[in-house]
Amino acid sequence: MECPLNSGLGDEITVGYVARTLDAQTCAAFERHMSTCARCSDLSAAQQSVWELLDAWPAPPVSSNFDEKLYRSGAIHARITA
Amino acid sequence: MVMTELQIDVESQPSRPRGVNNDVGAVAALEGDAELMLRVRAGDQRCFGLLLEKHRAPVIHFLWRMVQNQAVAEELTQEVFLRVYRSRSNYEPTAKFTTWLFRIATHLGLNWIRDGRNEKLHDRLDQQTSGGATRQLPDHARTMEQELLYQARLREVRQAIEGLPSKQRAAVMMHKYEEMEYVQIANVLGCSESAVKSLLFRAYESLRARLAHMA
Repeated sequence: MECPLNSGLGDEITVGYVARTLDAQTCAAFERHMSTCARCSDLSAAQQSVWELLDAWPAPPVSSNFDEKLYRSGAIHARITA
Repeated sequence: MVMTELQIDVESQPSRPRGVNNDVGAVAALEGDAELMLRVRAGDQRCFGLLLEKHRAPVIHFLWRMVQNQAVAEELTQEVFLRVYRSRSNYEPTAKFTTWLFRIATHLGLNWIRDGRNEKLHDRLDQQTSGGATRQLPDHARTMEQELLYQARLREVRQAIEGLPSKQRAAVMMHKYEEMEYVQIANVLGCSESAVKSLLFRAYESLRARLAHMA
């Protein structure tokens, strides 16, 4: 694999690698490439770190009265129980 | 805003014979969101309940990460689902349902941010929700020191996200948390796939720089 950073694909390959959206062949080729390319390896590690920090950002639970407020708004005529 | 302004002609789903099915749970399991929305259009309000049940939390969480205030995120999400419901009679499955849903949500979120209504409204990490649930409760498995460190890291992540231009922020939220493909994000944002990649890659570059000290 040509170094993605030299071919203008550095971000696309790195982000795809960390997000696990690369196809298996590209993923394997990139892993082989990273074993000899410190720049790509460092970029991938930095992106992985961002990914993990975002993973650790929890969303709050939905308010228990959310549906009630929606149905009370008047635009939705009947209370609907899923 | 009406449905026709929101829909994009991608990922069309074939229209199927409409009718009220008594077993809405089976419908939900076997058929897609577009089918449920077609049933809402046909007058089956229980299907709206199923769509709400399925998509309520993802939309609230998306908007919460955009505006970083739970009361506002839930208020905006109420508006999202009201718009969906009000548009039911015009609904045509010309786009993936979630593309349409997140397009409405993104539009509302970006407008809210653009109007500058986010000043000093960000939730505190230990703030209570309007429904009484406490958010991000301290994890009692952590020591006080670990908890303080955890909260400090969360604050830095939130600030880094907040520092992104709003459209980049929206793109990251859809890519990271909704696991949308570039083409769907492009359809939500109404731009090209290459423009989405540019937005996303600049956003991740900024985040790598801002959060490098936490690696």
